[in-house]
Amino acid sequence: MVGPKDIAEIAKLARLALSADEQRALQGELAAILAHMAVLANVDTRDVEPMIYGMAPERAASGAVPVAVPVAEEAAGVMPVKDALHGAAVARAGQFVVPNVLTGQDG
Amino acid sequence: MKAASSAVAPLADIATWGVRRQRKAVAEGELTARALVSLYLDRVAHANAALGAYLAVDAEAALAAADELDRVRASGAPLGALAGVPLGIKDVIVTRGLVTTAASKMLEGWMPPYDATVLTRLRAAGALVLGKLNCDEFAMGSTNEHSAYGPCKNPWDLARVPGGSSGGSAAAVAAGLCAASLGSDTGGSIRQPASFCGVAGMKPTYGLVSRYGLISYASSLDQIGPMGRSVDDVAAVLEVLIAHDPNDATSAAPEVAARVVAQLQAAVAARALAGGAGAGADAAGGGGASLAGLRVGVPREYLGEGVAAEVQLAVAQAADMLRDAGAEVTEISLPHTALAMPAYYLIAPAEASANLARFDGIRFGPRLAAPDAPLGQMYEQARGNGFGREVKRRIMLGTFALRTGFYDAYFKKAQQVRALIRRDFEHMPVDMVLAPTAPTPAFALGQHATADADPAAMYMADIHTLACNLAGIPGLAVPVSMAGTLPVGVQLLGRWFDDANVLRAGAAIEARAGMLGKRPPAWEMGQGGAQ
Repeated sequence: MVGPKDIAEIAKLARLALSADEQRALQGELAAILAHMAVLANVDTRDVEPMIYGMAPERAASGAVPVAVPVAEEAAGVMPVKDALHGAAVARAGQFVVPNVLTGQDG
Repeated sequence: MKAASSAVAPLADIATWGVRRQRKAVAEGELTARALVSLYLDRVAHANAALGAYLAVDAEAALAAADELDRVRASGAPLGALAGVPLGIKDVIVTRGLVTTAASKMLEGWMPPYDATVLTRLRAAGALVLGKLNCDEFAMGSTNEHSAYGPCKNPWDLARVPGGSSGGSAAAVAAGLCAASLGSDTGGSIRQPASFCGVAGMKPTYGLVSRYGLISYASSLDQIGPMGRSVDDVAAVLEVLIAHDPNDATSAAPEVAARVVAQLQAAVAARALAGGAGAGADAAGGGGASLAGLRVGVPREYLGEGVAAEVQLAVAQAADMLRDAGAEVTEISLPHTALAMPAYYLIAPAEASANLARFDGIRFGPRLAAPDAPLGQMYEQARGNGFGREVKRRIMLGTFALRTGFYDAYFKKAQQVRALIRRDFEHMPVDMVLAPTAPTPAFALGQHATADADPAAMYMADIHTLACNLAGIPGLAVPVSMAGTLPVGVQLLGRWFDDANVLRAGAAIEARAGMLGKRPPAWEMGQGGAQ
């Protein structure tokens, strides 16, 4: 079951501001969706390795899982600061402007 | 060399030409790139207001690129494989200089400073980008009704959905508003809209097409893929897209990508992908190559209760078409099929909750809180305002699954079940699967989008497409028949990296289905006809 406290806690974790109506609606929706997930509990997954990656089994089996690939400078390039800041709501002196996080306040 | 002109055929007919024929016409000077782009821009101008397929069109840039291509052609320099071909790009794929919103308010007006790898490759091949195509917000949805900028409509019936999330990509191709398009497929978002709109669409094997520049939904499931009016059009674009990319850590090894491209090119050379002599097909003497020796399975779990009679009929017809081409078609079992929905709708939202954490009002998105507001409040307001209902629902679901105390029972369990679903495909006694792409043809707008609609019902409608993404295998949707005024498609699911074979089988269906020459009512809108 998913109660109002759960919804509030999850919204906090997800950093989502939800109206009272949204919270009420989501409580019902998540409960309905999670009811369909209950079937998983009855599946025998003893000794089944979780499939974390989307790649072909032979690659996963070989241990060739994604790692931080050393990328040549010319392959990845370095994004200019101007471009990296392009979507920023507020930018100044080549930096993202953020609220003061040292006051101890964190909403 | 012939004088460049646009008068080789009525302009309206040129929009029915396949990708390779359009490229040939431009390369040989039969048609200028400018004339071809202008044709499509004109069609978009006539039809898009009613259809809602495009979110942004950059006519000036498209014509400038076309003029440059015409200059290159006139100079005698070699041209790329898609020279002059006008494409639409799903709006979750970043395009330098062209606004990319992921159909979300969160990215309203965002101008990417770089091109996705797929765009770099398409531009290098001479393709011309017309604009950005509508989709469900952040690719989350199956109807294109969750776009923050209004729904896209189905070109066969404007009161119906085009499917999703790549609804705009499918609708634009079907209505002749681009020669081909790019979509993305995380749980069926290329294949299902392709079937709803009567076009071909492919999700390649995971890792074959770079995800660099694809706005992530679920990183272990997402794949970019082409949509076109024919299987050959899909193959023509896919050949350009497939490559190892060092910017994508999940990219297939260079030798694997090269092998698949070689197989595709061999299939083209053998005329195995030409779907027949219908309008839009490029090759004469259709029929495709023999499929002798190919073993195809129809999973009994995919044809159970809830699958409409016309969909069951389409699968049976496609099976007969494959047999006619020489394939052996039998019934098989994929026993963990029913678990695909719960597994997917835990894994995908969980990954999405992590991927969408970057949209925080600092790096992206609106900053709504007062400058002295606490940081957490700033995040919450930006995200609460910037995301739509379906995105918030999936973020909440994903966050639930990853919570301490719930992780093992939900997320880890779903990943284990995913491994079981993958094993079904590893152990299947056939080379590929034939199955429906959706339980029904396209349904009415609003059917799943009302305030009291059951979201689980919408999620259940994805049951046919999810397992393909969970396993990472290739999937191709191809139209088979008409159910009244609506197209019905099927999908072929192959083994890992057997994409070329999947396309061969799809072409064999296409050659026999008689769907290539059919156009939706919205096609006429592009010619300025009555709506």
